[in-house]
Amino acid sequence: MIGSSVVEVVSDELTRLATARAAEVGMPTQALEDWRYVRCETLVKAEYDSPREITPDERRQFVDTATPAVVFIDGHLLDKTVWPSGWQNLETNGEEALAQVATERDVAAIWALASGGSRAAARITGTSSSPVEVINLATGGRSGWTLLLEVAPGARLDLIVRHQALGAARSCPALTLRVGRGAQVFVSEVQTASCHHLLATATIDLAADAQVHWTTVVRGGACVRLTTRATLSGPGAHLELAGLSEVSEQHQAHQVVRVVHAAGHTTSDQLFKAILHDRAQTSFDGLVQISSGSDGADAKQQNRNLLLSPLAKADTRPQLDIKADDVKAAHGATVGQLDVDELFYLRCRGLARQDAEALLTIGFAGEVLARLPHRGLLNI
Amino acid sequence: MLAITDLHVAVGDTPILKGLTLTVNAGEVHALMGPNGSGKTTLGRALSGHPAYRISSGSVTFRGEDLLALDPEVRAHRGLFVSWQYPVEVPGVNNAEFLRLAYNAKTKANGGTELSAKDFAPLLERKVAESQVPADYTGRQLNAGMSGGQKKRNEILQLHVLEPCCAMLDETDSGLDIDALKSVAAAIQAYRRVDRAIILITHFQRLLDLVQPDRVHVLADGRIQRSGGPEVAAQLERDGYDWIVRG
Repeated sequence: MIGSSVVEVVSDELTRLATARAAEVGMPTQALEDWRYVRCETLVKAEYDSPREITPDERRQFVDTATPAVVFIDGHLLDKTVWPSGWQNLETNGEEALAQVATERDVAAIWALASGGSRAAARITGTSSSPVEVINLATGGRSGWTLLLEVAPGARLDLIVRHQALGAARSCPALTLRVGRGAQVFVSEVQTASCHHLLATATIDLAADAQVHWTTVVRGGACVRLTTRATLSGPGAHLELAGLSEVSEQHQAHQVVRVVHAAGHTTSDQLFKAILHDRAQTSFDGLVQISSGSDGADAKQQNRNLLLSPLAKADTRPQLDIKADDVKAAHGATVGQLDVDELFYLRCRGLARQDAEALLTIGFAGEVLARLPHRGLLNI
Repeated sequence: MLAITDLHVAVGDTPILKGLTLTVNAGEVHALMGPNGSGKTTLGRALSGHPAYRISSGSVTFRGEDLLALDPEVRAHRGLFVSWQYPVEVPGVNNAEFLRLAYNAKTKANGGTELSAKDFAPLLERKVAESQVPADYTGRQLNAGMSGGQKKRNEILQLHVLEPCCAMLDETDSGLDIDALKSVAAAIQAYRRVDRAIILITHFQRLLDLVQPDRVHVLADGRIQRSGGPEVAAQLERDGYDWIVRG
């Protein structure tokens, strides 16, 4: 079946309001609670390359995938983009987006709307297990886009999200998932290229018995900040979030997670890890809220940071805010170096120190990578 | 094969081994027994090259070479294997891949040809059979999520894969059920050869019934207090350590 052509959601009013709101909010600073760990001067002082056409080689390498794909280049959907099979245009209520702009406080989410990029929305039906790619390619400049995916009850969506920069660029994508009753969504997200300033916002709403498994791998953006906001709205909803950041040089990677258990008998499981080299800096700022009346909720949140350099810095702030009585909630965080005993054990069995360190680092990452359904496809 | 002479080892400022002398020849099985805290595990750690175990005096010669001058991994390449009383869990590291890397490291150091995962698989299958461990061990993580007894058996698998010429097995029999003990004992017997030496650290006669030692030593207060044949172990089983500790 050939999919239908994408119709962009166009609203000059929304762009105008978002631009005004961006000016009002201003550049992020560490004085803002959600940006406290980000070296914001990197964003303020940044000079980006001019956006340009991609070359045929780049097109072959990054755009012409074997799997069906929705491709954004510098915030704009490729011309004549056709939705993958099982996807249809979704008519959205502009009022909702306008309301979001008026109250949105996070500048990354505002920039996603204010950058003049594409806005698209699709409804997904069917239970195909073949993956669909969302490709976010940036050649330069400051870009943003939004994509709303409404997954029909009982449907299944297998998504690969790639963020790739071909020059110094700032990219602010916003992906929203509305997952219907009993639907299942698997997301494998990967970021590469060291010149990238990536400020991504993911918003997830799960209806009853819906499941979302979202795993992100960050490999080398100069400044990456990923914000995930999830609401478990119906009983039986299950959310799994996992992330691995491997950061070197003076790069920074930040993960902000806000999970709300708004219904009883909902479960969430977060596992975020970071490997830091050189003068890298990472942070994990995670809040799980269990709303009043959400009895039977079960939330896990773990953040583990491996410092492979004395000059690297990892901040971690796992938080629980529980307003219901009968819940299970566990969280933990560690910041440390390779375990001395593990290292010695491997050396006693003949591995040179360097090989033992490499194996332990792979082992540290393995727990998150094992959650990626398309490890081969992602070349990880 | 292994000659330890007047070895003094301290952890921090606390002396643990206070003049230990022990010689083990190829083809021999020695049992090292002794009360808790007498220094048995310290000897294993010191022989392995653990940085926290400071050697203040004495010497260790292994196959004619000064063992104490070698890095831990080089000691393994030369053929020394010391199992751990509490094998460390290494989460995320696949057992089979670890075994292949360890096998290749030793093989390469000795001028051999390293094996790809594909070529290593049949060798590993043979070693799993030789060491009598369940076949699913290879797919598991290195000691992580294993029970105490399973970890000990996993180390016996390492022993068979790495084929050291001298193995010190630290309380390998603890934490094993009766059937597992028999399997481990059979795997140790299968490893036994005229060109290999084994030192069994144990508290219990039952392992020594299954793996008959040539010599039994009693370590107390940091020194070998008594050495003899299997009858020493039998006497310990009957009378405990008191008669040795009291002198």
